[in-house]
Amino acid sequence: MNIQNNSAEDKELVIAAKQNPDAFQAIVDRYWNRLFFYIRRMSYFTQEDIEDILQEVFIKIYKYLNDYDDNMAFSTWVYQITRNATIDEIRKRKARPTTVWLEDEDLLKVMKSSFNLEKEYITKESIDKLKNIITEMPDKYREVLILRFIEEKTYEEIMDIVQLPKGTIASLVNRGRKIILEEAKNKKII
Amino acid sequence: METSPSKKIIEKIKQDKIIPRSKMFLNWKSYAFWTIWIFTLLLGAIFFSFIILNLLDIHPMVFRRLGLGKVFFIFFRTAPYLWIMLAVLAVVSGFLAIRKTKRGYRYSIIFITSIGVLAISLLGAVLHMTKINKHLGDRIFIERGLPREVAFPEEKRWKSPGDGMLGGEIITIETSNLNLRGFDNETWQVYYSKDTELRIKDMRSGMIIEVIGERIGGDQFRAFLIRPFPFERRMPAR
Repeated sequence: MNIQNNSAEDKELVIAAKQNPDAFQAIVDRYWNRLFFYIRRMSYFTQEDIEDILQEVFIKIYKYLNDYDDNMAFSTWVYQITRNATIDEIRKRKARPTTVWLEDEDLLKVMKSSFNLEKEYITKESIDKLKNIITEMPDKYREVLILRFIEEKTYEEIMDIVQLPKGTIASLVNRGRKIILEEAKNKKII
Repeated sequence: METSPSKKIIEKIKQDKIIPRSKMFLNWKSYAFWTIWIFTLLLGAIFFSFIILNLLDIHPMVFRRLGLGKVFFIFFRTAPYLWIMLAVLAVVSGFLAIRKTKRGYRYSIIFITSIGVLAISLLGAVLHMTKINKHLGDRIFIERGLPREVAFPEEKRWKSPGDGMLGGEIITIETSNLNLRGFDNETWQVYYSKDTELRIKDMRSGMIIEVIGERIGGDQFRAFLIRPFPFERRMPAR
C-alpha cells in the first residue's frame, strides 16, 4: 500500500516537475539519501564525490523526465540512471573498488541470504572476513546482491535497474549466494 | 547557512536553462532499432521463402521413385545454404536490434528468437503463397544475370541424370520417346513406356518437365516418372 502510494506520488511529482522545475525539488529531497547510500555501497567514492555524481544524476533525471514511462516504478528508473552514472564514474577512474562501504547491518543482510549466522558468533574478525568476501566478489554478483538484500528490490526491479533479463538476474543472485557460502566455508566463518 | 543539495540542483537547472528533452529526441534510437528489427524480419521472410522454393522443389513422388537415401543425398548437395545462412543472420541481427531498444533487455534470447523465427516463417509462407518469392527470384537473378546456381541450387538437381533426375523443355514427341533440351542446352532422348507414370495431361512440345528415371548411356534416359515442375521454370537462351 505504502509503495503504491509512493509510486502514485512520484508520478504526480514527475508531471508537476515537467511544468515547473521547482516541483523537481521534492523529487530530489525524496531520493537524495537513498541514492547516496546506494552509490556508497556500490563504490569507494568519498562523500564529496558521491554528491557530485548525484548532482549530475538529478540533472540527467530532469532532462530525461519525458523518457520515464509507467511501465516501471519511478524509483526503479531513478536507480537505473544512478547505477549507470556510478558505473561510468568507476570506469572513468579506471579502478575497481578496493573496498566496499557496507554497514555491519547491511553486510549481515547479504550474508543471511546465504547462510544462518548466529549473532553470538559474530566477531570483529568475522565481520572483516565477510567484508573481504563481498569486496573480492565479481562486480556483477555484488551489485545484484546489494540490490536484492540491502536495497530490497524485487527481481523485476533489479532487471530494470541493471538492464538484464529476469532469468539472468535470478541466476546471478543464486550464484552470488553460492560464492558467499563457499567463501565463508573456506575462510572458516561457518 | 549551507544551501541544501536539492536547492543547488534547482538553481543549476534554472541558471543553465535546462528543460526536459522531448520524448521523440530521447527515443529516436529505440525507434530506429525497432525499425531495423522489422526490416530484418522482412528480409528474413524473403530468404525463408526462397528456402521454401528449394524444399518444395522435390515432390514426394520423387522419394517413392528414387528412395529416401538417394533423395537426401541429392538434397544435401543442393540445399539452399545461402538462404539458410542469410535467414539465420536476419534472426541474429533482429535479436541484436531488439536488445538495443529501450526495454530490449527485458526479453530473453529464447523469446526474441522464437518470435523472430515465427514471424519469418509465417511471413515467408505468405510470400510463397502469393508467389512473390518466385517473381523476386526471377527479377533479381534472371533479369540482372546474377549467378543462379548459388542462389537456387535446386536447379542443379535437374541436371543430374546420373542421379536419376533430369529436367528440360520438350522439343519433339515420338511414340516411345521424346527429345528434351536440358538446362545446360544439351539434348536428351527420353524413353517412356506404358510403365512410365505420366503425370502430365496433354503433353506437347515447349513444355518444361521433370523426369525421374535412369541414364541408360550417352544422351539416353529411361523415364519412370514424368511430371511438370511445381514452379514455373525458365529455360536458358539457346
